[in-house]
Amino acid sequence: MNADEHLINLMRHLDGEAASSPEKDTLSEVNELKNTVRALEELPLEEPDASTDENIMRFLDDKAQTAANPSKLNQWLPYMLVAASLAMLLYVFLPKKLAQRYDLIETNPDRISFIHELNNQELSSKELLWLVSLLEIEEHPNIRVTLIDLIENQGMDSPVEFAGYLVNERTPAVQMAFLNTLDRQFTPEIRPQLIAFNERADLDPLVRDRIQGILINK
Amino acid sequence: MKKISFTVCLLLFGTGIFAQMGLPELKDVHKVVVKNYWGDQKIKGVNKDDGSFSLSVLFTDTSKKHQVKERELQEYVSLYKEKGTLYVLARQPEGFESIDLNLQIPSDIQVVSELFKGGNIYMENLDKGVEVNSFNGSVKLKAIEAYALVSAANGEVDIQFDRVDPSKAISLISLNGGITVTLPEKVSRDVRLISRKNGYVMSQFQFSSERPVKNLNTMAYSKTPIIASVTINGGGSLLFLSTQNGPLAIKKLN
Repeated sequence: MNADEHLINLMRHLDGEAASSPEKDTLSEVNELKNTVRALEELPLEEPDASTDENIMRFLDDKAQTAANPSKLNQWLPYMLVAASLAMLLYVFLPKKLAQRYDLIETNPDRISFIHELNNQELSSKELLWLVSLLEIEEHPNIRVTLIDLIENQGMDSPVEFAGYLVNERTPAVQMAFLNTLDRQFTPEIRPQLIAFNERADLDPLVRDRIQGILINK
Repeated sequence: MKKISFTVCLLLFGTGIFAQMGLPELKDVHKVVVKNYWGDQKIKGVNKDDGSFSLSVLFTDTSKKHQVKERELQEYVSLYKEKGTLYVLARQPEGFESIDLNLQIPSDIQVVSELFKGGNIYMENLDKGVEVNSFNGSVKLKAIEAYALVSAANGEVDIQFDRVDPSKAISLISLNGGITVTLPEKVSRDVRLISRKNGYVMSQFQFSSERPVKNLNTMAYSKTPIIASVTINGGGSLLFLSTQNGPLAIKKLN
């Protein structure tokens, strides 16, 4: 009898299915096996920790969700795409230059607020040149006076441009703001424009006194 | 010299009368632009329940006196509406004449006013802000809300705000005359003060500034420019006050 046949013979005796009584050695082995099984059955039952169940259930839930949403990246992907698209649009279309931002402002008080905020920035010479050129375009007198004040605060000297704008300026308060600046920034090359301004017939007496004072003293 | 005579025309314009004159409905008007050469402008805002648009005109010339009738009004004043803006434009003077405009409008309409030659401007009870460009004469604005941009040549500027829009700049500039602004006491502003000559600064608000303000709360006329940047109540939108000749005053609303 080989080992496999011997093991099958033992199992038949253990289960009570053998046709004949076991031999002495076989009986000894059968009894030993029966004692071992009995001893195993009498061992105390170890209860698993309650948290084990919870951990298992959580693990199963996570598995189920993962199955429904293959990955967290996939879950947020549409939002990420929308955000990325918006960022791209903003990058492309939001004005990066002062002039572009200024052009989007609709009301005069908001334009003055925008100009006022520039006092807190150190402006480049290109930006200052744009502000000077804005004096030619901007029609509102209060905006022009705020611009002149800002340009002067930023230390920008533009006597030639200022004198050119002065010649056609209509509002006395703005004329005076130009003259106050030109008095400090006077250069001989602006004298012809100041003379032309002085020849205007519509000047307010206070403005005329001011321009004549500059022409006499310079 | 013949005494200057006055011709008075008092004419109320309701929507119906505008319609009679072939003018459009005024329900969707959100801005009124008023311009004249010589003469006063008086503009008063009223609640919509208390009436709508009305306009009276006082015409003054040196030679004759006659009653201006309703059908003749268009000889002196043009009225038309364009893209939600109502224009009230006095004619260009023919010789010496002045045309005073007395306008009543709903208070929730923005007003833009221009006076090319001379006259006083009075406005009252306007909620959506005002913009004024005046050449000779005083500018007195009362019970204003939102913001004001005023440019004057010769004359006092005196404006009292009942409320301000904290995001809107206020700018009051004059060539020759003092500037007084009255604000609600909790208003926060960055303030730019410029008085080139004969100036001082009176303020009922506490100023915060890096440098002291010359002639502050001292009624002594400075012969040198007063130029300062300060803040009130922590700072905020700009309050720009600038005059070539005269004092500046910032008062608290009682």
